[in-house]
Amino acid sequence: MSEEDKTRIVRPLDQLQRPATPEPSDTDPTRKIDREDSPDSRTIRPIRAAEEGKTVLFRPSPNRPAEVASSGTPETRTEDAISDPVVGWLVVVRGPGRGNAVRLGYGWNSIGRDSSQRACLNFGDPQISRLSHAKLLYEPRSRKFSLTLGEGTNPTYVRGDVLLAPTEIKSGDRIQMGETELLFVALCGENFEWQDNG
Amino acid sequence: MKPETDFAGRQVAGSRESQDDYYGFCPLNAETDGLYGLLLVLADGMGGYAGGSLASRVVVEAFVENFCFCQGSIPERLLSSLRASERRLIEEIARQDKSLSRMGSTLVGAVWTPGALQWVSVGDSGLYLYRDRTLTRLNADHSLAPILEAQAARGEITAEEAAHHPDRHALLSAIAAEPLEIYELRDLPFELKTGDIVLAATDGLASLTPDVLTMKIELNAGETADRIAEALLIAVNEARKAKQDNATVAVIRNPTTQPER
Repeated sequence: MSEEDKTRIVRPLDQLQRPATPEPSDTDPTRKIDREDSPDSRTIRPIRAAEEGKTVLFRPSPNRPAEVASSGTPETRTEDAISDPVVGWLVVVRGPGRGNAVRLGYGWNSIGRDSSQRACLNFGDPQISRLSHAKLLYEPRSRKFSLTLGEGTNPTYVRGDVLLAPTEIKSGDRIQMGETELLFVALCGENFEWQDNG
Repeated sequence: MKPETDFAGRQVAGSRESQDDYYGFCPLNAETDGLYGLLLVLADGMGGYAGGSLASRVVVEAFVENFCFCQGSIPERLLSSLRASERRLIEEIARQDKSLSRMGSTLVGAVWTPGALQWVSVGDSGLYLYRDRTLTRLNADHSLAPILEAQAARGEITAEEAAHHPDRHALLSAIAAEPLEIYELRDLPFELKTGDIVLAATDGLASLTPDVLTMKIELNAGETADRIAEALLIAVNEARKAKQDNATVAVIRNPTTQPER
C-alpha cells in the first residue's frame, strides 16, 4: 500500500482553489477535473436534508404527489392525471387482489407492495417484494414498454419465462410474480400517445 | 478543514497487476454544493475487458464533478450524475483506442447528510450498514449471484451449484458503452442512527465471509474510519486468496452525536 494509505478526496478543482498544477511532491492524490463553467456562474439552490422526506422518482413528469405515497391507494387522481397521464395498466387476473388494476405512467414504474411504489400491488401477496420487485418502463419516444428485473428475492415471469434481462412487453402479455398473475394492458403505443393530442 | 464526520478509504491491488477500482470522497458544503454532507463514489472497473482502471476513474470523477454543480433534490442529482458518468465514459471510449471499446465499471454513489443516506448504484459493488453488530447490504446486487441464490432457494439448483456457478460474478448491469438499463436509486433517505457505520466496497472484499467481515468491523467499531478500512484490507490480505481481486473499502462513520448545522 502506498498511495492507498491515504483517503482520496476528489473535488472539482476550481472549488478547492488549488493551483492548477499540483507540485510534483504533492502526494495528495486529488485528481484534476476540468470544468468549463465556474460554480459562481450558476445559482445553486441550498437544500436541507429535512426537505428530502418525500419520494422523488425520476421520470418525464416529476410531479408525483406526496399523497400517493401516504394513502397507499394507487387510484387515479384527477389532479395528477394531467401531469402524470396513464399509459397502461397492470390488471390482477389471478391471486390475491384479483379484479384490481394499477395504473402505469411515463418512465419507470417500480412494482412492489410498498405504498411508495408507483405501481403498488398491495393486495396481500407476501411473495411480491415491498420495493421494486420489477420495474416497468414506458419509453415515449419508441412508444414501447419493457420490464426489468428489480431487487426482490423472488423471480418475475414474463410470458412464462423467468425475467433476467430487460424484456419488451406488449399489451396482453402475462406477468407473474409470487401468487399473482398480472395482465398487462397498454394504452399508449402505436395507436395512441398523449403527446399526439397536443 | 477536518470534516465533522469521520470517513476513510483504502485500496489493495490483490494479486492483480492493475488497480481497476477507484473511489473518491467529496465533502459537500451548503455554500458551494447546495447541501451539507459527504459524497462517496466508488467504482470497480470490469477486469474482463481492457481499460478497467480508466473506466472506474472516469466515472468517479464525472460523477463527483456533476454532483457538485447540478441542482435539484438529492435523488435527482444522483441520477443526473450517474448519467453524466455514463456520458463521460462513452466520450472516453470514443476518444480511446478500439481495444478499450468494451471498458466499463460498476458504480456506487452515496450521499451522506446528517442522519441519512441516499444512493444510486449500478453493478455488484456493495453498500453496507453496520448496526447493532449486524452487517446488512443496503443496495442491490446487479450480478447473477442473487438470481442463482433464488434458484437455489427454490430447489432448482443446489446451493453448491449456485455458489460456484461460472457466471456468478457476471454483471447484469454496468456503466459501459451499452445503454444503462438497470440501476438502483434510493430516493427516500435511509435513516441512519448514531453510531452507524456505512461501508462501500468492491467485490474484492468478498474474499471475507460475511461472518468474518462482521467480526472484523465489530472488533474495530470503536476505532476511526481509517482504522476500520485498514483492518478490513489487512484481513483480505491475510485471507491469502490465490486470485485476490482488487479490493477497495470506503468507510463513513455516522457521528455518535449529530453534528451542528
